[in-house]
Amino acid sequence: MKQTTKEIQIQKRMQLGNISADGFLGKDKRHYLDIIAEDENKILELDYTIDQIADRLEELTAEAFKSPEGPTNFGTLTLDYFSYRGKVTCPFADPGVYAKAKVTARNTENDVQLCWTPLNIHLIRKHHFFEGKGAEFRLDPEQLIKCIF
Amino acid sequence: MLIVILKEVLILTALFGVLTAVIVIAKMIFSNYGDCTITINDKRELTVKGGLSLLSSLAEKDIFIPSACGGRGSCGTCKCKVTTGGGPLLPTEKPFLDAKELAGDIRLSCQVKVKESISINIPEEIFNVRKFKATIAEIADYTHDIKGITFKLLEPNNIDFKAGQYVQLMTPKYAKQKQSVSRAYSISSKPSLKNQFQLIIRRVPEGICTTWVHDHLKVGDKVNLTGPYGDFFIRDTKADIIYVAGGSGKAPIKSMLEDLKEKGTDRRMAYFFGAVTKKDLYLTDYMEEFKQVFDDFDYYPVLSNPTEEEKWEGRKGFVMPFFSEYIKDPKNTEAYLCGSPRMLDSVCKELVKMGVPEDNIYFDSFA
Repeated sequence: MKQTTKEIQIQKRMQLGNISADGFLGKDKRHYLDIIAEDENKILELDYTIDQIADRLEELTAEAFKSPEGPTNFGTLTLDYFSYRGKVTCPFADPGVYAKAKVTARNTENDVQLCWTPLNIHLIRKHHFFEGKGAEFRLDPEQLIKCIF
Repeated sequence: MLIVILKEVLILTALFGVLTAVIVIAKMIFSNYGDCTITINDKRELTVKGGLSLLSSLAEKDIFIPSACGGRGSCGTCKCKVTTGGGPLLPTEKPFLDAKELAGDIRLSCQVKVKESISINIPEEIFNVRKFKATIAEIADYTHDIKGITFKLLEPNNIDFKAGQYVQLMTPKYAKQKQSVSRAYSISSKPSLKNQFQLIIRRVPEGICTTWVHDHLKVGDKVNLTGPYGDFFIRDTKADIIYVAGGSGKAPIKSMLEDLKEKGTDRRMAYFFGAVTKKDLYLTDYMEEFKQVFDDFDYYPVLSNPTEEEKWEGRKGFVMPFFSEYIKDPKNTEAYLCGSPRMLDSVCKELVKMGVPEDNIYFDSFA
């Protein structure tokens, strides 16, 4: 597949050591556009939309943020927000920075547990990118939907 | 037939060669900005070779504007006022500048290219920032994810800083990391120790610098850094002081207390340290010892979510509800805060609600 200069730069920024220690692709050898395409299909198959997922993640992040004293219950979910000093940028080189933080969520009904960052939400909403398999903050669409809805 | 093809290939190759040469020569002519002058604060002039970013041009002259991303235009830290020259504002700068900064000619020095003579205003303290080589003298494990790192300075072999300021540590290329990055960390030791200093560094998931510090850095390793930076230091007033910190945010407060111990103070002071569980507490005995040093000082560790097994009998929850135990005269109280952005946000709101003037609340700008 012939890549544009922009795509080559994005793929490079996703490698380990550029923006984050282990990168955004994990052990996934596929091009990021192929990762996006497969995840988009999966979401369609599950009858959800990208915006629904991003909206829900934003809502849960805001709920978790409200509880500085530790985990909080929100419906069937237990949420916890961890915040670190510093900021991180988008591998697609969008302007702006994202807080270094992570939200953990556990669905008490099915025991599915996962975590995401503020950058994850941006990557999902704007780029439909859930990260490569094996990446620290990869959000498998099927597991994510099971957890947050 | 073969000869004809070869002839055409040769002609094409020669054409490409000529075109490449024309492009290279044109680049040399049009990208050669010659020597440019950078006038700083209307009183100091530097002659630099044009074409580099303002940030890099200044660094080549040993003037280090703070930058957390190493000049990649992603942190928005390297702001300075450009009064003349500098070209038009770039789209890469706009997201980092508010309306007041845009109106005040503030630019990101990593995005401004020096293509002509340029005039800038930077704080005088920047001239005190130097580049250092140091060796790692000691690494202490404070908690499961926090280490205290002692640096012995090699070249230059002494540093002048105010308690509360920070340095920028540069990572080398390590393991599979292909590029060097620099990150800001508050100094946690007292300023009177001129030839060494300590940083307290918490592991950040996926953090390039903190992974290097926690998993690769060893005693005896040589490192590079720049500093000191920042305006987070104790103001010389008589006001009561409330310190609030969490995690590695203990670093600058420790430096401030050690400094005040040497200089002496009769100010009323209290220190609230927030953590999740008992395993996140560290240097507690050391902080308690300051009660014997100062006439009016208290240390309050507060745990937000202690486990039952820990049998924690101290204060529980977030730190804010306990401020009222200490703050008697909010208008005459100064707050020094260091921690995660979320903690800073919650604490600032509570302090303002209690009547502490916003101008009396200080924190690290790089959090």
